[in-house]
Amino acid sequence: MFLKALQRSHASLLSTLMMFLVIGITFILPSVSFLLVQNLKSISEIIQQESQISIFLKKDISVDAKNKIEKELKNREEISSYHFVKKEEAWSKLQKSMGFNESNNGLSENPLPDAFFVSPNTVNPNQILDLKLSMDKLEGIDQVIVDTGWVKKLNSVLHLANKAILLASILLASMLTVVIGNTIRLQMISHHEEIELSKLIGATNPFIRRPFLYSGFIYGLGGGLTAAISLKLIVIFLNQTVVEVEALYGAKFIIIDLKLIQYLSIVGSSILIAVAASFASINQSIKRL
Amino acid sequence: MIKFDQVHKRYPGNLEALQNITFEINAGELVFVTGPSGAGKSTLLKLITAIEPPTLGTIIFENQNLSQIKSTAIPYIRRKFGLIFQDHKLLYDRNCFDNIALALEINEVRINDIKGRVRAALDKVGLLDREKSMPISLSGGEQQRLAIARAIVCRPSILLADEPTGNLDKKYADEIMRLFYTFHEIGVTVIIATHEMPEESKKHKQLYLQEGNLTKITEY
Repeated sequence: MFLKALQRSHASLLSTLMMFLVIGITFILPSVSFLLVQNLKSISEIIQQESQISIFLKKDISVDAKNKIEKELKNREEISSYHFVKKEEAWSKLQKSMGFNESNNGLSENPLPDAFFVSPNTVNPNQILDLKLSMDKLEGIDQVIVDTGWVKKLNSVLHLANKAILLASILLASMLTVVIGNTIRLQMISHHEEIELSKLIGATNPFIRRPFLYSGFIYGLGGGLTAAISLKLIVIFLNQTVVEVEALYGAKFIIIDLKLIQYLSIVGSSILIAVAASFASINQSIKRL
Repeated sequence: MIKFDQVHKRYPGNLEALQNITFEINAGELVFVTGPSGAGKSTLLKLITAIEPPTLGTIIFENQNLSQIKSTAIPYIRRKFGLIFQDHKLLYDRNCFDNIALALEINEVRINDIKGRVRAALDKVGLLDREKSMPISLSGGEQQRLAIARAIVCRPSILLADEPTGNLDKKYADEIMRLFYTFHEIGVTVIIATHEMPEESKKHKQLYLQEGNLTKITEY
């Protein structure tokens, strides 16, 4: 009977291919968005890992207070490393990078303070904020700067994007259910004589349902594979384009592909939606026919 | 085999199709259900095959009360009948072989047995050489013979035919009736609803319906 459903799909090849395309595109849209968000997320994580806390000390800080701060930094578990930069060293580096010297910088004295640069071993924005607040309380510290504010904002935007994708996926899945259900309903109408006759000569509802369920399965499988293959091609295409960007900016950058399980999930969800939509539509139609 | 006891059938709109019908048909009988158009012949066959439920009364088929049967059991009851319709109800997008094979698929016959049984059924009605033909290319008589082949392929114990010769000229009608007599001779119970009584019918049981009432039962 599955063979018959395949033959039936082959007989109306154009409409079957159209259906594959409709399902495929419906799955590609949220999948590509998901892929982009995942990539942005991993970039933001890398940036976050590279982020550091700058602790600027008061100009008149005593050696004792500076040692206390260093001891505190050494003892904190959430700090993976830190290093101390003397204000003279910082000033000299700044002058070098800006092309100044003592005579043309326009300043009467070194404006920079001594500073600790801390690398936290956490990427959790809340933990980093806690660390900043506790540092703020220490004696001899003038200012603590955490440069993860924009990463936090990016994270919340990505979180919102994830929710939007989920919502769009639900809407698209509902649309797909209606489209597949309607196609199966039309198929049943076009085979109503066969269904009517089959019922008269002893066909059970599962027997009548089966070929249409197989059609739904074929639509789901074809549509899911169309989406998965297209998505793979999109990733390959984007990564080829990225090579050009790498050449221009000298940065290493690659689009992270979906995992095999995620590709299988796309195909699986497609089959599940198609079979469920077919089942609901068939049951409705059997009652009417 | 089939027992009607005070059966009534009323369709929506208060249309009384059958009233107080009581009769019995035994295994191996050839029965003609006759009467003018609108007398209730088709309704009677629909009640026997559980296509329609009775409004009142009891219908017993092979010790099963069809009036109280579960809807899930109905397909299995229908498989015991071979049904032949006036309009043949053939599938015109399938060839003769596939039309008959459908009945076997519904009856869950093994795929390996289908070919042999379809060919045997086609041979029985004289259409073996037309197995690949499409029904549209067959004459009216051949189409009805194809419908009979579909009805007998599952080896039913009862054949029910609703006006099987209604659309056929006399030559084809006689051919069809001869097939029914042949099946009756090998022990199949045959029930034929017809408004034209063939000469042969006088030798068999007749149920005469008029305006939904069973007015006469003739037995020989």
